[in-house]
Amino acid sequence: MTARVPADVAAKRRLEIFVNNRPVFFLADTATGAEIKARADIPHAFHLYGPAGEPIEDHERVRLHEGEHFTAISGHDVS
Amino acid sequence: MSHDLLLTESVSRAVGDLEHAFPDRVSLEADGSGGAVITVGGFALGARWAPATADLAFHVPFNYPWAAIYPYYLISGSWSNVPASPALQRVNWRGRDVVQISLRHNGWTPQIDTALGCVRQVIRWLRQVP
Repeated sequence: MTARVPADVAAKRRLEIFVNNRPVFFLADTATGAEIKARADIPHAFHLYGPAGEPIEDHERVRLHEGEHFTAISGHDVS
Repeated sequence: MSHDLLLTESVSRAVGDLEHAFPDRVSLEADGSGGAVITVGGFALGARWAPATADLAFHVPFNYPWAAIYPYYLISGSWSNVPASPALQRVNWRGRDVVQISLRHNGWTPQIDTALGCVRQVIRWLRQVP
């Protein structure tokens, strides 16, 4: 039998980050760039940047910290 | 400093994002239509540039985010070395000799894309330009 985790306890375990100012929740404290974009409903082709402006590749796993802000942006071309 | 009376809500939010990411480095001049010319100071560009540090400026129009940001300008005292790229042109902008960065977001998505993302991406490109 599995013990049921009360909703308020489960909520405290969630880690909240922001992607383009939208709150996104994780239960783990690491995620890949692709996972962050998917959880935030960001198109796969977008580029992701970390809190300090560091690029995060899709395969790259990063540690998440509460309240951090990530930035996603569509690509650009020479015009 | 509050710019709420001068800027549209979306432009004001863009300014707030930039100020959060780049504390004490953001300045702006309202354009009178709800948009603003924004400058973010002090980006290290790398050894291919001389000087190696510059400010990045761009116009965020009143209809942002429905209109993408384009182009961008690099401002420094005087440029002695600028990498050769079709995206980089020396121009006079607002009375100053600057480097125009012609990078266009052809896939701009107003519901997602932000001015902060533009700055992140342009700076990365400037540091990697061959």
